[in-house]
Amino acid sequence: MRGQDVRLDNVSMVYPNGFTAVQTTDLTIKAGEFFSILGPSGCGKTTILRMISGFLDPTSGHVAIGGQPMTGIGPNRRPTALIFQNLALFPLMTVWENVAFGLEARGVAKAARRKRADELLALVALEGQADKKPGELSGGQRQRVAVARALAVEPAVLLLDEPLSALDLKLRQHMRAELKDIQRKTGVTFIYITHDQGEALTMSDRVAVMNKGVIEQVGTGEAIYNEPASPFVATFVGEQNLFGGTVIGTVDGMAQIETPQGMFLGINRAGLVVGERAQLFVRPERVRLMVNGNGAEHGLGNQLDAAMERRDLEGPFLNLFMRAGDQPVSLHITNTGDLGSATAQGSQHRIGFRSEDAVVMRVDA
Amino acid sequence: MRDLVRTFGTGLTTVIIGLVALWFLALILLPQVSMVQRAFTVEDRAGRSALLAVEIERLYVRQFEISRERDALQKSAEPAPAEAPSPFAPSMNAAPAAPSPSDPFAPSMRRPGAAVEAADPQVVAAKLAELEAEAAAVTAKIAELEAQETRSDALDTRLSLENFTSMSSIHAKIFVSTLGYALMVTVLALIVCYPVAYAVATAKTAERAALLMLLLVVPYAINELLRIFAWVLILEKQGLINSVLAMLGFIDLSAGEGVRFVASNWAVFTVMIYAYVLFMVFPIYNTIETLDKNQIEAARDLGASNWRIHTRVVIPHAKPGIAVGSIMTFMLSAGSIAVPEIVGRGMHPDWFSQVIYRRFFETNAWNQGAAYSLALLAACLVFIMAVMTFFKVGIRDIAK
Repeated sequence: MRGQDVRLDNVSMVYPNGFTAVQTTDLTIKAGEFFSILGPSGCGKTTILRMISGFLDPTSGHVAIGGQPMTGIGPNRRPTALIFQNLALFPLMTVWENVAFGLEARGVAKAARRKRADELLALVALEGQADKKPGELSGGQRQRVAVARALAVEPAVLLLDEPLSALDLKLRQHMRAELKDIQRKTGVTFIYITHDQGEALTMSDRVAVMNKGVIEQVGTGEAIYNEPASPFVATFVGEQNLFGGTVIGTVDGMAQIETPQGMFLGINRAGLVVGERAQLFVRPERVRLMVNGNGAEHGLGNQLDAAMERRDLEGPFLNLFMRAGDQPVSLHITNTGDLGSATAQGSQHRIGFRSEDAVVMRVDA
Repeated sequence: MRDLVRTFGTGLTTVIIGLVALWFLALILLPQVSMVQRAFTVEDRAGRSALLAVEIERLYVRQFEISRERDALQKSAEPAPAEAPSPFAPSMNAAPAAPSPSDPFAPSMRRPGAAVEAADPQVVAAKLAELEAEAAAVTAKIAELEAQETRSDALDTRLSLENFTSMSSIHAKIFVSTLGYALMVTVLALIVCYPVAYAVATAKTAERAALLMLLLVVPYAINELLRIFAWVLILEKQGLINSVLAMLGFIDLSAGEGVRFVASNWAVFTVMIYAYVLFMVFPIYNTIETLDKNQIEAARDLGASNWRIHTRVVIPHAKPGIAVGSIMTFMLSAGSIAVPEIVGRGMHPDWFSQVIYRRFFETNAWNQGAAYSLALLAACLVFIMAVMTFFKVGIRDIAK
């Protein structure tokens, strides 16, 4: 089993009812990569997956897998295997028959099928479950049967359509690790569709963030999180504090904007010029509470005053909901155990964040 | 029960339960019991009661002959026409056989001997007296025998398997072949209906599914007999198919070419499949509808051919629906009388349903008709059980 690369050249998808699911897109997924497509429901990510798997023909452009154009090749003849959101296991077949179904379709003899199915079930840690029906397994086990069934046909590309969404949180976290592990062992290219940023960020080598049929950013999880390329990416992935204002100066890739809450400096990756309407994004965990001393000591270039409104205990950290004038600001701070009195409701605080942690972006028309 | 009372109140519940009981008793239990009872009862019409009937018949004929002879004698003795009161008591047994007195052929039946002897009044008087005596004896005998006939013990009624065991070899052959025909219809209907049901169940849009369903249901807005007759119009020698073939120049109808499609089992099969298409399509459609369509896509994605997708994924899932559809189609076609009667008119051998019909309404052998019906019912049930066992479908699967 060796992964292959997937290329989308000028691919777009317009449904017969006129709905544009995917706008013209170029995308290259490297061989052996764990690639996630992240976006809200209806953003077109499943459409992309179905075009790669062959269930949909793109309206324009073409898909190539391993350098081979896939135009006119049906899903049963592509080197891909799809894991459905509801898994779509065959309930009337036993677990091993499910796993071996792809081999059966290729005319492999029964003994060889059984042997291969047992190997794959061992790979996904399901030894001894081969003769059960899928209905007798737990959700996580069924999940692994679906993975084994897809891997049985030795696909070059494994496509996963939100396969973990039906599982509970604990199991989901466990399965993330397992999927990542299986991907590493097999070297197959994984294309993983999800609306759960946690899944995308923890498992993926690279992530594409999609919105309304457009891929807004492709990059590593860190790049997506730390250097969002668009307001949508900034707000969809993780949480953000947002300050609206006008650019009053730019220098060395930084932009200074004037907001009702004060003047802030942030990274100006989008190349805004003076006078433009701008938004400044800063993540709640990058905003700090200055309990004593002033911000300059901490290197906090941007500072403002805010009043404590509410405090939620998450366990390892605290969510602080503050207000600067009529602008809400939220902070995530580590629960060091000595902030009880300091964060009482109504207390006034000086808060601040580093310029390097803030991103200035153009306001979308 | 308590739920019913709570939902509908005592009054309505009583009505509902009463109606259900009535339905069960009058439309299910009593007819079945009556049929079973008749099937195992022999009314031996070929025995003593039949002999009685023949004897009575013979006496009526003799009575008629006497009256004719007497008339002839009287006519030859005196020219004035004697009053001849009809000797006939209205009787079912005698009337059809004997010609009526006003029969134009009656004079030719006059015996030559009677005319010769007419000359001597003495001889005529003696002969007349003799005839009168015989007539009285015959009338008395008729009364006696008719009294015997109406007595219930004259009917030789007894419990027996004779109605079944006396089935002629031709009827037995028809019985077996009818089961074979019904199986044939069922298999053909399944082959025709499965793709239709699949197409409707997997239609891309709801509108298309509704349209397909409508096309299936519309023919059922027409009376069943008309639908069958419509097929006769299509399949007859001067029918639609041959007309179209003639129009296209393949055959010459005026030269007597063309196939007479009706009066063949294939025509009967075709019409039956058409008549029972919905009974097969609906159950299969219902089960395929409940199949997670992702399973079909998953199978295709794993490289399965269409054939394998159907044999491994769709058909196993649709098995209960296929079983229900097949059972209904089998029962309906095994018991159908209208289709073989109308489409198969003139065809030999008949279907068993036609044999049963004739037992009842032509041969007047109700008991054997009941026995034949029971035999057909039993054979169908055994057949269904066998098929369900073979395909490993349980009653509970079907109930789903």
